[in-house]
Amino acid sequence: MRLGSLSISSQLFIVVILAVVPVLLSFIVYFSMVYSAERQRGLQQAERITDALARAHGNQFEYARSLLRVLAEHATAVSPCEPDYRRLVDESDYLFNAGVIDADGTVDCAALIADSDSDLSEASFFRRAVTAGTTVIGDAMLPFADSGRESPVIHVARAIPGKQGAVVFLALDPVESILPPALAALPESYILTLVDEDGRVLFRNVESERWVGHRVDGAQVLREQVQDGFISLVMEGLDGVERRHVAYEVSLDERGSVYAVAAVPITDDQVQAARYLKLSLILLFAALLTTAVLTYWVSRRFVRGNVSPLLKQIERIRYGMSLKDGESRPEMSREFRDLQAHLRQADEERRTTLERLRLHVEESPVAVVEWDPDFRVRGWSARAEDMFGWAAEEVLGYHPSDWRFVYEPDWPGLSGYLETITSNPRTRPQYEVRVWTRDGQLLSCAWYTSVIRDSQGQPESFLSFIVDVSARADAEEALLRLNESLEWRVAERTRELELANRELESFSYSVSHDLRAPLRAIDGFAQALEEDFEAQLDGAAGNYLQRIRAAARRMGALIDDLLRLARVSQADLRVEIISLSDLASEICLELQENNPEHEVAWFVEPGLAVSADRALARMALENLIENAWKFTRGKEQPRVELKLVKRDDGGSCFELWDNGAGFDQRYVDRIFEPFQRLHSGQEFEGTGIGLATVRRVMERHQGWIQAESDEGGGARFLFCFGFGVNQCSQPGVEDER
Amino acid sequence: MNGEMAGRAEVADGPIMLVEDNQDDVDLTVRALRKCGISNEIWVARDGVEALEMLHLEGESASSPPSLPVVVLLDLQMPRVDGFEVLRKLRASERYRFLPVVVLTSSAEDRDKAEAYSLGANSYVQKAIDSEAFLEAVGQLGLYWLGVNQAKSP
Repeated sequence: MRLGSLSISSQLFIVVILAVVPVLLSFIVYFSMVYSAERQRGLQQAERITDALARAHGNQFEYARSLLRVLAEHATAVSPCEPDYRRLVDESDYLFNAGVIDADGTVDCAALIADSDSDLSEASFFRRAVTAGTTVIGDAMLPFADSGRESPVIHVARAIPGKQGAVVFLALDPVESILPPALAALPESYILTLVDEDGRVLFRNVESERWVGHRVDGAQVLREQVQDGFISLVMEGLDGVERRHVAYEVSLDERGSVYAVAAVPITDDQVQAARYLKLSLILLFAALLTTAVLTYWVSRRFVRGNVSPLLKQIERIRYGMSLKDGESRPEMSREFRDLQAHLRQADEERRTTLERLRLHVEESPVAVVEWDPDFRVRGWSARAEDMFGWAAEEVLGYHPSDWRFVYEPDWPGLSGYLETITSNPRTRPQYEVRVWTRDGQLLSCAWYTSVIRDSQGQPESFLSFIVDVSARADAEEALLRLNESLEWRVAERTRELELANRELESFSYSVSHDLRAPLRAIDGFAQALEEDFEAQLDGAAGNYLQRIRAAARRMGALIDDLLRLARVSQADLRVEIISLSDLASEICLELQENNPEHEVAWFVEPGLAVSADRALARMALENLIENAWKFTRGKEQPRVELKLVKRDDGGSCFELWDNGAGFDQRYVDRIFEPFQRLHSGQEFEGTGIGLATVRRVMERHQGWIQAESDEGGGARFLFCFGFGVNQCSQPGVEDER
Repeated sequence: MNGEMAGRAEVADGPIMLVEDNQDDVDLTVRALRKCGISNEIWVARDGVEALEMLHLEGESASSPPSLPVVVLLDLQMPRVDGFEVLRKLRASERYRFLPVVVLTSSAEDRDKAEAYSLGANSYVQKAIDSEAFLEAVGQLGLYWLGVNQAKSP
């Protein structure tokens, strides 16, 4: 039932059948019931009649036999016998004649004397009676006696004992002797017949003269059919009336039978019922036929007419044959043509896509394994064969637990992974499992598994991309070990560094304490010598003492500067936003106060701020500005300026400028190194540590400092604190910060 | 300058206690005080233990208190018991709770300075290498604290 129109025609068929068939069926049932009842009634009536006929005949025969037995015993004693037989016949309603027949077939004596020339030696009843020795019932024939009777009589005979070949016989009047009143009253359409074994009619209630004594055809058949004592058949008589014939065998003795046949006309009701039944059946058949034809026509009209061409077109499309025009409407043909083209293209695309995918899978550098919903191998790529050593046909249809594949300790993990991806693969797209190769090598593999589900949401297929990550796993392990050792080493270094820091701290502490004390003693006692023994010392001695004391003081300054430099490296940074302008101004004011003889014109740009440690920033600024102060000594109009400047690259930084002595640009790299001095101590005092300290401060703030100078044309220090406010950039250094 | 200082009637005449392990520093300090015209008796303790014994806070004569010094000049770095410990003990005792203590040390560490003040030092002076500066500082200190004590105990 592919198409709706077919379904409609069958529905039509069903409707017609449903409407017509029950009516017809009820007719059929009704008439068949009527028919059956009538038939049953006719049959019963026919049986009753036959039974009555047979009984009547039996009675008559019994009577005849009893009488014959008596007559046969006394036949010899009676002579002349005619009067006795005549009396016997006269007294009986049944008897037409009675007498004795000699062995030669002549009538010896009888109630009615036969013609002299009548020879009964050939008569059936005579011969049978002679040979049988019992009563026989025999020929129904016209009386042999000259009585003027035109209707046949029935002859019953019995051999006479002791009188060889002679028989005593009775001629029975069939009509009066047999027919009981009930049967006699039957209408003429009921035909009652008695037939002997030879087919000779012994009795017929209608047209007796015409039938009795004549043989009828079919006696042999009748005899065979009535073997079980009963026959019932319907046939049409010579008069055209249909009758039910019922026949009984009336057993007389072992030597012969008589058949009682009643032919009862079929009743009009039965005939009518049969007719209607036949009509109903015909109608039913006609209805079925009509409906079938109608359905066929409808299907031909709607299905073959409209759908078949479509089906043919579809079939052509399916098998890729060229489409025929003219069968359908042109626009339909066009549609079909488009559809076919589209399908062809789609099919081609699908094929190439599939082929591409297949090649990708085969060529994939990772092993590709497809699993069925029970996680048995369904696909095993060439790379999987290479990687694991198992050929596809060896593992297809097997669960990974079925062969030595998964490294045993990884089983629980893999089982969990399989369960997880079955319920939701996205939660755990990748899992690492170690697997055995065929040659017993253990590989660390990363499994990336996807799942396809059917419309019910049940997993239909799993696809695993399996990557050999043994190298990576080894590397990871090595890295892990390295990390551990690295951590340990870092901890060790940190500890060492802390130790070194502490040592350095205590070192600088003791330096500050223990180096100072002797210096103080040198200076102090030199001064005491100078003051207390002034009179005893000449000019040169005084000069020497002065130089001793100057050296001691210089060394003190050196110690102080070195300690400061060390402190810069060690100190914890407390970064806050501080005003660089205020700090610089303070320092300048102090310097001015402490050096009233050296008047410097200074300028600090207001509003400069940095994120920095206040103490360190102050230390750096002090060093820079003191430097500027120092190197402008001896200038005509000494000038120091601190301001924010734009750089070429768009960034900005601070600039401390002075118009002092400057330095040789060639040695610019050296001025930030400790103890490196570009000027002699005689020219400008100093320890050579100050700028190193400044650079250290900047570095600790992740900033920088650089110097520019022309000899004799002043110095320019550009610097920047790396944190936060007023952060500025240095060309070529950004990347490192 | 010497004459002026010596002539000041308001200067207290009690002893000055100097706790210092370095003999050079002892000599120079004493010289500086004398140079400033301070002629008070000077007790010298060579370390913290001697200082505490001298003040009868510890040792055999712990129960018999001596006369109070006018001021203590205390070095910090010393063998055995250092200056911090001495300061702590002084401030913990009933008798020396308010005794003026001037820390006189080579250390310029902020840490030491902060700890000294927190333990109750009255002044903190770094020993300068420049002997003139040292001389001046010690002299000023001595005079100041002698003056204060004088005013307090008429």
